[in-house]
Amino acid sequence: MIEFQHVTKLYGAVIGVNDIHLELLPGAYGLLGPNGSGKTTLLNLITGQLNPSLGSVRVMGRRPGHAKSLRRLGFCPGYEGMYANVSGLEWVTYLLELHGYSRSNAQRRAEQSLERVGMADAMMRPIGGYSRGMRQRTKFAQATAHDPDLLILDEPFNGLDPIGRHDIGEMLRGWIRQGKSLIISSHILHEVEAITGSFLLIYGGRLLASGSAQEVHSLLTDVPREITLTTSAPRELAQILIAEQLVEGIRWDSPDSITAATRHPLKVFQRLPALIAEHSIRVSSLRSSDDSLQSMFNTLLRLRRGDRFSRAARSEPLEGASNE
Amino acid sequence: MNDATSPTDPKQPELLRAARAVIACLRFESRRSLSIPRLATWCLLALFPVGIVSVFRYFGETPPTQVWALMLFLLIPESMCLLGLLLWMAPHLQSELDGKTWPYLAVRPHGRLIVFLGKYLNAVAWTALAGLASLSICIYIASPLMLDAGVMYQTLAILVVLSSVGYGALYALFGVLIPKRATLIAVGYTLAGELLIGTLPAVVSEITFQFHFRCLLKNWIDFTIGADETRLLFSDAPSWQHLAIIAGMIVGFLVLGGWLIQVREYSIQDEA
Repeated sequence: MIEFQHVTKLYGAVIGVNDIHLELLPGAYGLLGPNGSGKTTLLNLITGQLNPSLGSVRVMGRRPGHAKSLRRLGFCPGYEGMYANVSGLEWVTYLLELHGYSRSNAQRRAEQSLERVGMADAMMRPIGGYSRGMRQRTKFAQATAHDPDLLILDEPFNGLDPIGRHDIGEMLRGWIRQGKSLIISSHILHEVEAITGSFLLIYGGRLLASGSAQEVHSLLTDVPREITLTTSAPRELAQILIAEQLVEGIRWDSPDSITAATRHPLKVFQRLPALIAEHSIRVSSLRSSDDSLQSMFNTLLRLRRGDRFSRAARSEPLEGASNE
Repeated sequence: MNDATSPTDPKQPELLRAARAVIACLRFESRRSLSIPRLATWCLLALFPVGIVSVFRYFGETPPTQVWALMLFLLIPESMCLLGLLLWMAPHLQSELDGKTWPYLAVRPHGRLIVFLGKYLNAVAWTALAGLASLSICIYIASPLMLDAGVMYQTLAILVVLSSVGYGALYALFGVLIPKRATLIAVGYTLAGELLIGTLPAVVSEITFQFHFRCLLKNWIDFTIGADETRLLFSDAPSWQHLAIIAGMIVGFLVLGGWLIQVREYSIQDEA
């Protein structure tokens, strides 16, 4: 479906994406990476809005931006660029007309699409009066109204309240159930995990890893996790943890705080209460390492430097998740 | 998809789809243009030549018909139309980039070219209509004092349309070349190119639209050219030659602009 051949995109001296080599088969993928990691650049390369500085991209067998591939593609950008003084119906109808539909067909399809996303009551109102969630729904409607084979969404959950997130998530799961392809970018792991099990992890413009959620998690099993403890007796606590062989290393952060690196965090959490009680050590706080995407990417980046993994590095086509 | 007119219907010619999409863009842009600020600007533009002509008509000495023609030519096709196009054509792409609507349009099949042409036609239509409305009122006011008001109206009306189409194509190209500074570049070109170089009594002035419009005015109104210096401002070439050059320039600017908008990258400011 999509093929990247050693693609690099430069913005002057700044690297947008760096030597991406990847083949995606039809399916659903989550494109994960922190802000500024190159997700939008990657999506813009797929939609043909950007041209690669090096390498080549093929979308459905054609160059990106080719009319025939654009006909089969739906795109939902990350920003809310919609005209405030036109209604949702007018906007979606207009975009369908640009797509090549006659006015009457475009209007009918726009109505159906807006109804599908729950905008039946508001479609005649100017977009300027829409809430964030309504705008996202309208964006989703314009991207799917022409029944594309591949839907590309850039940060669709940004700024949405929990109900909006749930609704958009449901729509996307429905989309995948129809057997359609999807690429969704996000910097929030669990939101994407709830929609698809296939990930592309991008950071600093590099594709760090790709594969299923299990594959990605398995990459992290051997990576020591950090636990930060604030205590009245840091030296004594450190000695106990090392003597019990619970940790691989200790770092002093401040006079009353240490950070322990361990491959067995659960074991530490189970034994710690008994140990501090036994030695009468007061622990005022315990904090596990940040489990966010950022720390995962830092870890993956360290691994990448060691050239230890990556399906991308093996140049195997990646199969997306499907609920068919 | 069962629509007879589905975009995936192979029987439907691509050109027909694209032409229909251009009309859709023109209709959509016209509808968006029907806002109070836009209509107020349109009225202001159309009325400013009327104000100047009224001052001449009621408070000044009665000028000869040739001077009326020259004045109306400078006021409407050479000033009002340029101002209108500076407002509505030059920033055509930047307004989409600023409004972050560009990606929605650019991912449609031939979307970039369709929007380029649709916006061009919209700007030309608005400018030409303002020009024609202004010209009609001006001729009505001045007609008691001029000979052959009908010929004058007909000539200037054609020049208004040519000016809108011609300068529109040029400003559309500026808009694609340097979207962020398109209006500034267009103003600079208008002052340096059309007003300065265009009025030089030299061959270089022939590269400007103004030269050819001026020659058409001379040919159609049958100007009497006096001094040798003035003669250099005009050409003896027949009207069809000027029209052919104007048409060539318009097509050239549009083809270049259309090609550039297809191949160049235009990204939104805050993209990661």
